[in-house]
Amino acid sequence: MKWKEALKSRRRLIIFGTLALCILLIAVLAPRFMPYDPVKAPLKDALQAPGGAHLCGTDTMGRDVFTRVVYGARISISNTMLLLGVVLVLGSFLGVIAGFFGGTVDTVIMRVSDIMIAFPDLILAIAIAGILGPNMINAITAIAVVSWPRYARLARSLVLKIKNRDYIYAAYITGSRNSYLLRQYFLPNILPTVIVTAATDVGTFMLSLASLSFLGFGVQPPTPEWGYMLSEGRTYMQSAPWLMIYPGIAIFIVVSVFNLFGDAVRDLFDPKADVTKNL
Amino acid sequence: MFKEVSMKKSVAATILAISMVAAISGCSNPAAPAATTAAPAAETNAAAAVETAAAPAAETTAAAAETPSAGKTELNVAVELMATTNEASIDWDSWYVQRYGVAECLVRNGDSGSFEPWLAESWEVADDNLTWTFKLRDDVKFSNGVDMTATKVVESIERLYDITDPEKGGNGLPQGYMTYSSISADDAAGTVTIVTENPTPDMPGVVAYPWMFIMDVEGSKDIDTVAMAPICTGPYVMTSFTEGLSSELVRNEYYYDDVPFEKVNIMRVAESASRTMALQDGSADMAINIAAADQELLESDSNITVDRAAGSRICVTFMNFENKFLADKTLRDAINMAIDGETIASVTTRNAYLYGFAPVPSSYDFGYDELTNPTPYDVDAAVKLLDDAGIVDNDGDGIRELNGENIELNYVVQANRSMDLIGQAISAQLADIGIAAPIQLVEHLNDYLSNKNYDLINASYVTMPTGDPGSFFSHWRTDFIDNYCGYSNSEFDETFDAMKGEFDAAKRREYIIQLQQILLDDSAMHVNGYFTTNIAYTNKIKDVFNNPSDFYWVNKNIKPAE
Repeated sequence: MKWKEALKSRRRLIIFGTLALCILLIAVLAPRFMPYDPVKAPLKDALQAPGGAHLCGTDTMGRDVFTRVVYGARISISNTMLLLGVVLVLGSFLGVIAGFFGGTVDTVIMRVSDIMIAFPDLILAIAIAGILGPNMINAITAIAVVSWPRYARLARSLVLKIKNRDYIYAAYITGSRNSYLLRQYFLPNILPTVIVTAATDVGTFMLSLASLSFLGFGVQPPTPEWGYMLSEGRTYMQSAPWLMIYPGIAIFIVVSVFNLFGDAVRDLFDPKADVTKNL
Repeated sequence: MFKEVSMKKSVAATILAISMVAAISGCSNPAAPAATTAAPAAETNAAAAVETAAAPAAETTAAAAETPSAGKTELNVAVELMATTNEASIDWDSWYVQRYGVAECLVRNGDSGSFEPWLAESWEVADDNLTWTFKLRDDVKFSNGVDMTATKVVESIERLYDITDPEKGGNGLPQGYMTYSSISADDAAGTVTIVTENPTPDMPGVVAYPWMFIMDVEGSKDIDTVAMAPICTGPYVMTSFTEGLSSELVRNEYYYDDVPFEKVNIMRVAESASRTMALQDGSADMAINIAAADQELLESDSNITVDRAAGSRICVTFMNFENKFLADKTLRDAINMAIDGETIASVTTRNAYLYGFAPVPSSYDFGYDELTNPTPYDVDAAVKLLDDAGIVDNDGDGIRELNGENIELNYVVQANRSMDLIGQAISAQLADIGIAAPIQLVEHLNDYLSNKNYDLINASYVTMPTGDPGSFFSHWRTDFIDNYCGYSNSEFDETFDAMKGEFDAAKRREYIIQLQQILLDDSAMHVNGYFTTNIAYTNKIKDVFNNPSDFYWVNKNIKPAE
């Protein structure tokens, strides 16, 4: 059957898609099954090695590391998705506007995006987060501010590609309003590419948020977030390495899975892809 | 056509290659920065960790490697903190100028507790209890070769008091310990005479305080003391200073005693784990303040010694009396009762602190056993106290309300000497009883304290900087310049004033006990415990001593091990 064949040739997509889905399910559901509270601090249990009652040991406040890693999944993933959504919508919107209307609007938007691209992105994000104050919303804002140019340029180029096509002119001449053109023609055209780009960027955004939290510009204690947990574990690198190992493994797994999933999605849409890659 | 295309391609490729080479060679050598890492580490990688520790020390390792340990000529010191300036009149920056071995005072806090002569050979006070005469050493020269005369000493002290004069907008800190009605020099006899305005029993301690270091005012007038240390008398002379990063010192050729090292490198290594690794790989010979977690690790290393000292430094949590919630005594009592100080000190900070509820450390004889703690740790009693007073959570959000508002306190915390761990633990315990006190991590405390820009704040103080805790209580004396919490109690003020001029040691002790009890009864603050300072050093050097006063790090005694 056709769909069986389609599945076979999309093995990577299935595998990583399932893994990504598992991670999302864990992030959403698993916290309910955790025996320990991620925030309450039973001080007397501090810095216990993994084993026994605590699978991954406890941190300096006595909190169970495994519980915090699982709760951290919820925070890291939800914040990354929020960031992704913001950048996607903002970047695409600005790119479409620039491409569609052209002229001064295009020039202004593109020059602003050039300025943003000229800065090293993480440094600028740190500066912005430092000025705004340390909390997750500001961290998301900071990274969104430095990341939207990519999507804007992508959306703009996709819009420009079809802007002068005959069927667009035809629709325009027959009286379609701009909003109709945008909704009916341009949006469906840019959506696949932009979504694929977003899928491959999940890992990058997650690492950027973790970096800002690691430096103290993201979540504030006692919120469990992987980047911040890595930062807390630094002082105990030699005496209690489990504080860094488990959040580190979590970041590694989640970022890898989403990166590979994004690659598989891209291969799905890319007709020139080497078929032997989809094994 | 095929040839043209490949010609274009090869030209383009060549241009690209050239520009890449130019770009790469244009990159300058990465200057070794301090150990703050920005890499979003995916996993603990011991190799990566050693890289980040070794990279900042790469310069010094290269330098040290040139001199075999038999003829060790350089001392490498890894420190947690550095001051932003080298100016004696700015905050507590003078501590560092003295700690680096650049500056000396007239008197020194002896290693075994009592005061020792330093630039002054001896001192005495006249019967009026106001006139102090200091006899100076006659063989001291400043590092520029100029003799240190009594006149020079007076100039140095007058300069400090002039800049810090509160009437001229100064910070008034030295004046808080002692003010003088006259100061005079007798160059022929080599004496300095200071007549204090009020009886000052702890005068030797006052002149031993770091900001009283003796500098050559005339010789330093072209030096910007913010960016460079002034000309002083110590064993080492500062040659470079990069704020927050490093400082380099060389031997003072005019020093009155032997100076073991040619060069001293001070490296700021903010992370305790990195300081530990710097000791382990030899890029630092001594490291200041190793975190408790790593002390156990280092003690099992036979090449490294950890010298601990229980000094008079405490961590106190000030409560801002100008905050609308903290003005309520029931709330303050409940806060004190909700905090498990014992566990925080012994478990959370891993015995970096010794728990005690009183401001003056229990190891000193100032009545710790005679004091009563009206608010010992008892969570149930704290909850009951709040419930009975009607401070309850009406809207179910987990936070109690006082006068209709959620009790939310801004808790300012600095990550230094485990105060961030204490802050997190306290914040968690207050959250358990329904008081929201989320912590705000900051780099420098001074502005938050002096502007009272906090509700709760963790501060670290040496309670007996002059050998006597009397001055420490100025933090609660009404209208005093270092009263950062807005506390005001007339009984406290009267007792404080009486204590200040009291020369009789037994009477002073009584006053100090009373002052402590008043603060405890009022729940004016929360004492977290008494800090154990430490200096860890490798077997490449010897005669390192961690003085309990915390004033001295590099000194003339530290020498290469044979």
